[in-house]
Amino acid sequence: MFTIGAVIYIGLLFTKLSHILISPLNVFFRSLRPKGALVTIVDIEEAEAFGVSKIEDFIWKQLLDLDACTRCGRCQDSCPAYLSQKPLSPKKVILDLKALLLERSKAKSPDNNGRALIGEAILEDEIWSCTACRSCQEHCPAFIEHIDKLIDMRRNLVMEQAQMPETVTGTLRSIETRGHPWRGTMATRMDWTEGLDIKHISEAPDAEFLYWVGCTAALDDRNQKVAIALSKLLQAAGIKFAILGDEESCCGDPARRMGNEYLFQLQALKNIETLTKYNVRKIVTACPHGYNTLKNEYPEFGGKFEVVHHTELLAELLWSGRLQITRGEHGIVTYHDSCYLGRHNDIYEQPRRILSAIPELTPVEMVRNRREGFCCGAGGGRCWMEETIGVRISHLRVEEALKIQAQILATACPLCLIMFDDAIKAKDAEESLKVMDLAEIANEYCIIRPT
Amino acid sequence: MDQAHREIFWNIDYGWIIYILAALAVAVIAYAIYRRVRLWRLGKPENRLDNLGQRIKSFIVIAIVDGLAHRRFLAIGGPKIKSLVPKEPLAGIMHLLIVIGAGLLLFVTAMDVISHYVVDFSHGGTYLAFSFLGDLGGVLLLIGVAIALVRRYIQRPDRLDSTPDDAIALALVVIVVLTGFILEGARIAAAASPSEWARWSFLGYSFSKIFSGASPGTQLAWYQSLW
Repeated sequence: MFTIGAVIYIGLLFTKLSHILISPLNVFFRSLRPKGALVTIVDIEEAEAFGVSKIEDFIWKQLLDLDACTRCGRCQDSCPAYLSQKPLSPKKVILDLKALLLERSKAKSPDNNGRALIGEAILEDEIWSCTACRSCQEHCPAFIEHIDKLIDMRRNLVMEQAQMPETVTGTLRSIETRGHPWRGTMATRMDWTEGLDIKHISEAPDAEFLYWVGCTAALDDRNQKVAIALSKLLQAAGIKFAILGDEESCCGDPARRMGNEYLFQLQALKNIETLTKYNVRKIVTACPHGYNTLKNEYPEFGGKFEVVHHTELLAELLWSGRLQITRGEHGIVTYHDSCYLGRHNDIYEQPRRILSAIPELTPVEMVRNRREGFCCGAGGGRCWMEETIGVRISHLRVEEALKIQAQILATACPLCLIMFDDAIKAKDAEESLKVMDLAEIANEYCIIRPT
Repeated sequence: MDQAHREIFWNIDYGWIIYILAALAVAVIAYAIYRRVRLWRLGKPENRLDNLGQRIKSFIVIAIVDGLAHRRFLAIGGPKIKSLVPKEPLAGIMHLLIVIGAGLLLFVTAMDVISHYVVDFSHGGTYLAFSFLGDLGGVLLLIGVAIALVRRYIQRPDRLDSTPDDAIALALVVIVVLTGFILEGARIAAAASPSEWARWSFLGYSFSKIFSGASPGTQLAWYQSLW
C-alpha cells in the first residue's frame, strides 16, 4: 500500500499532475509588460542573431511555458486561425515545442542534427497564420505566452533568413521606402483633408490633441471617410486638434508583428523624434494598432505620450454633453471588438456606450463578444498577406453578424473595416448588412453642435 | 477508548517504513524538480524576478484567489466583464471538485499530523468531523474524476487529445482514493469501532461491510497487509 502511495507522489511530477506545481510557477514568472507590447530586442545594432532558430534560443520562461501546459485546449477552441482551417493550433505549437525540447535534452552532443525548429517541428505556414489576436493567451489558465514564441520565429525568418511570403517582403519594403504598408496607393496623407479645415501641427501649437490619422485612414479610400467623420465630430465638439500630415510615418505595428523588429525600431524612433519636435503630449487615434503601439510600445524608446482611442474620446464627449445625439434610425447594430482595442487593451465598454447613446438604434451582441471577440483576420500583419488556406476569417465573422440579423456591423478599427467591407461584398450581403466605423455612425446619424 | 480518536499506526508494527518511503519520495521529487529546472535552463537567461512586489501581488490575485475560485477554469467573464455565466461549466466543475476533494484530504491529513506530533486536539466530535470531511473529500474527488472521464472519453471534444498520460494521471487519483477507502473499511471492520463513530466515515463504513463476513483475524490480516 505505501509503495502505491510513494508512486503516486512521484507520479505528481512525472504525469500531467505536475501542473499543480508548474502552472502557478508560470503565473509567478509571467511577463509584466503591457499586454499589447511585444518583447524588445535591445541593442539591436549589436545583435548577432535575430529571433529564435533553435529551441535553446528561447528565453527560459518560454520553455517553462511548455511544461505548464495541461493540454486543456482552450487556446485552440478560440483561435481564429484554427477555426478557419489554417494549419495553426496554439496548443499544438506548445506541444510540438515541448517534444522538440525533450528530444534536444536527450541528444548526446550539443550540436546534434536533430529536427529543425522552423520547418520541421513548427511549419512556416503555422508561423505565418497567427493574427496575434491574443485570444489564446486570454483563455490560457496557465498564462502561457504563445504570441511571443511565434513572433520570435518570424523574427528569425525575416531578419536572419530573409525567408517570408512575397506579400510580407513587399509590405516591409513599402514601410521602409514610403513609410506606410499600402503598396500601390497613389494617395498622399493630406488628400482626405481637402475641404476640411484641418491644420498641420506646426500651424496649431495650441492644439489639445494630435490626431494620429494612421496609414490606413489616410490612404485607404474606405477609411478616409472615417478620418473625415471623426474630424467633423471633433470640430463639432470644439476640440482643437492638428495632424502631422506627411511627417507621420507608419507606427511600425505591421513591421514588428511581421518579425522585422529592426524596421519597427527605426519607425518608432523616427516618429518619437517628430512628436517630440512638436512638443506633443496628447494623441488621439482611430486605429487600435497605432493606439497600442504608441501607448504600449513607444515608452521603451523614450516616447511617453497620453494616447486615447477615438472611441474613448467620443464616449467621453457624449457623456459630458459636448456632443449630443438627438435622432437615430431604426435598426439593429452589432459591435465587433477589435483585438487590439479589446483583449490587448481592455477597452470594451466605451464603444458600446457610443452605440447606446443613439436613439432608436438597437445594439445586439454577436455570440462572441468582448474578451471572447473573434478576430477579423487582419492582425499580426495578416492584413497585408494572402489568405489562401481554409476559409476566410472575416467571412466567419460576417456570418455571425448576419445570423443575428444586424443591419450595421460597427467597428472601431480601420483594418476590421477593410476586412468586413470585402467580406460583405464577397458574400453578396450588401443589401442586408453594411460595415461602419463608430465615428461614421455617430457622425451620420445625429450630431448637433451644442449651443 | 472513551472518546473517538485516531490511532496512528494502529496495529502496525513497522510504521517506520513509511518514514523511509516518505524520505525516498521527497528525494525523487527533488531530483525530478532539479531535472526540470535544468531543462528550462537550456533557454536563454532573462530576469523574471524583477518587480517582486508586483509579481507577488499578481500571483496572489491570479494563482491563489482567481485560481481557487476557478474563475478562469469556469471561464466566467474577465475583470471588466459583468456576465457571471460560466462558459465552461463542466470542465470548471470537474476541476473544482478535484481541487476541493484533494484539498480536504490534504487538510485532514495535516490535522492528523499536527494532532499526533504537536497538540493532541483531534478527538471526540472534532475527530469525527475530520473523519467525515476526509471521506467527503474522497467522494468529491471521485465525482470530479468521473466527470473528467466522461468529458475525455465519451464526449471527446475536439480540443482534447488523449494520451496515456491523461489515463495514468486519472487512474492514480482513483487508486489513491479507492485504496484509502478500502483500507479504512478494513480498519473499521477489524477494530469493530462503535458504529455511531464509524458512520461518520460514511464511505469507509460502507466498505467495512465488505469485510464484515470475515473473522476478526482475517480482517486484521487484510488491514495489515494492505497497509
